[in-house]
Parts: sequence; C-alpha cells; structure tokens
Amino acid sequence: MNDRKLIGVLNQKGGVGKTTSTTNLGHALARSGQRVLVIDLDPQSHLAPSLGLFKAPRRGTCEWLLDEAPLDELIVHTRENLGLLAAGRRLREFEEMPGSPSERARLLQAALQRDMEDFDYILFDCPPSSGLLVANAILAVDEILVPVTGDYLSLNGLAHLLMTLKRFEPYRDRPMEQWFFLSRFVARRRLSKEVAERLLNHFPERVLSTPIREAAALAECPAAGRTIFEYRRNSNGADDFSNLARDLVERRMMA
Amino acid sequence: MSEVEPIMNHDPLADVLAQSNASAAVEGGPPGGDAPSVDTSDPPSDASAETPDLDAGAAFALPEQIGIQEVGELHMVLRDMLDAGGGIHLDASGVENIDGAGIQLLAAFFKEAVTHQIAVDWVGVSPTLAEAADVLGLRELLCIEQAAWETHNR
Repeated sequence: MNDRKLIGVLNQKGGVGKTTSTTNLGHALARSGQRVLVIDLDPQSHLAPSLGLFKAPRRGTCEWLLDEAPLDELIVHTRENLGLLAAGRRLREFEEMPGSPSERARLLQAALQRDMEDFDYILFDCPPSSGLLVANAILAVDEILVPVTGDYLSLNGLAHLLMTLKRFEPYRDRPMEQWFFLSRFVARRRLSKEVAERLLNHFPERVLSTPIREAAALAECPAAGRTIFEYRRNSNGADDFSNLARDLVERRMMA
Repeated sequence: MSEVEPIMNHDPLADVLAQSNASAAVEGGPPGGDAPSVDTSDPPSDASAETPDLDAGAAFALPEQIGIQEVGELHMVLRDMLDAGGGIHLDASGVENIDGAGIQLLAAFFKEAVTHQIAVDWVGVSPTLAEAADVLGLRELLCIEQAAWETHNR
C-alpha cells in the first residue's frame, strides 16, 4: 500500500513564501531520503527556475491534467529523490478552457488515480488565487500546508483561505489535515509575535514547530537556480527548512 | 508594570472561525498523535459524488434597496463570495431601488469576478435593475441577458 502524502502548499495571499517553501521543503525531504515530487500548479511557473531550470519545460502540469500525457514523460529529475512537474506553458490557459467547472475541478484527482509514480511526498505549489487550479488542489490533496507571514494581511489571507476550504469541504470524500507554519518570520518584530500568538491561539497543535526566518539568502536562491542547501548550506534558512521537514514528518508542533 | 497595547485591533481569523463554526471542526490532537482535520462527519448527500456540483455555486438575493447606505455592507458580502471561489448566482428579482453607487458596486463586482475567473449569473433581474443598467450602458458588463428581463416581465 502506497502511503504517499499529497500536500498542497496553499495561501491565497501572494508573497508568503509558497514557492520558496515548496522548493526548499521538497529538497529537505528528499535529502532525508524521502522520494519527493514537486508539482507546479501556479501558472507563474516559478518552481522550475527555483530548481535551476531557467529554460522551463514546455510541457508539464497542463498536459498531464488535460491531455493525459504520461507523468514519466513530463517529470524532470532535478536532484536525487526530487522530481519536478513544471507548470508548462499552457497552464496559464487552464482557467479559461471550455468545459464544466465541476469536471475540471476534479482533473487533478483523476490524474493522480490514473498515473502516479512511486513517491513518498508530493507537494503542490498552488497559485495565490481562488480559481479552478486551487479547487483542483483542495479536492485532491490529503493535507494543506499554509505559510503565514508575520503581518495582518497574511492573517486576512488565511481567513479567506479558511472560507474557501469550508466551501469545498462538502465535496471532499475524506478529511483534510491542515498545518500552518510561520514564514519570513522576524522574531524581533512585535507584529510578528502577535501574529504567531493569534495563530497558535486559533490553531493549537497545528502550527509546525519551526518558523522560517526571513533571510536574504532564501530570496537569492531562485536567482542562482539552487535550493538553500546548495546555495548556503550552513545558513539559518537551511537549518530552518531541515527542521521544518522534520516537523512535517514527525508532527512536531509549536508549543 | 503597564501592559503593551496589541498592534492589531482586529482578528480576521476570529471572525471567520466564528462564522463557519470551524473551531469545533479543527481541534487538534497531541504532537505525534492523530492529525487534526476538518470535520466532514456530516457531509451533505452529494459528498461522495464523482464531481462536485461547483456549477451550482453560491446563491445570493440582492436586497430591495441598493443605495449609498447599503453598498458598504453589500460590498463585504460580495467580496466574501468572490474570495470563497466557485460560481455565484445573484437573484436581483426583488431589487426595487438602485442608485449610482449600487450600480457602480455591481459593475465593480462583475469586473472583479472576471479577474478571479469566477462565473456569475443572474437567477432573476428586476425591471428596475435592467433599466438602470440600460441607462448607464452597463447591460453587457453586468451580463444582464434580455431573456432574463423578458422572462421576469412575462
């Protein structure tokens, strides 16, 4: 029995670190021996360059979902244990394509049942919107992982996300686990601490133990096409993502 | 010793969790134990359907009066519907009065819906709204079909 984890990295607010987290958490899990696939559901297609593919693959998620192209033809093996399904050029057309929204919202679920290689963790980098791509993720994943930055608007974005999840809840056939973590965290800021307190207060035992500290190196990684473990392996960012990966696997929560 | 005033005067999570009664659904277990989850213990009968009835979307009946006094509150409702995603069905059959601010709000809502790629349609359109849309040349933007008005007036 394959007990692979399908995890959507999701927050409808932009700039909270979804792609950075998908990239570096994915690599952290891969480095610990897990077989990981990261899938780009965001038409901005930032996952491929973040992993060093500056000329992003022409085909990817859209071809897998709509054309039923075999996954093994689309996956790029970027690192040991770390595969990438890039967005592909057509993904930006996904929302406008003809067909019933109900059926198109189930395409990812169908693709996962039809064609999935042997992975332990599959991370979905979701777009900051509430369109059909996000609907696909919400209906297909087992868990969502929500990066929350230390500001009011991030909490506001999370509130909107909770409403979206609530709306889709009746259409899921199984419970969805929800995990949160602090992203781009600046411990010395009062507002960051307040946000962390509110998050813990509302979601006790569901905030992963390790905050990802704001760091210039993490922002620089995509420009170098490297993960934090390759770009600054002794940095705070590398430590944080290693620990966050352990939090996720071992369910270590913030007290 | 004086307490430091919190920076945030508003907690958006508290509002949403109170509204959706989600607090009962998301209680967590201990670390290492079973993961907390969204409660789906009492799903509607179509929960196991192969395809969700997303086309059905959310329905909302617009109030009789849509004027400058009402647009603030109405804006929040419509914005939340956009944030929630999925299709939206508006019933404007009961709209008896609408002023420029009201029409402007609806026009902005439809533009925003296009940006979010959310389908909005009319369950019913009152003559008042249809006339106002005609006068302002907004029938196309508001997607008010002639048929909807004619049907209503039959």
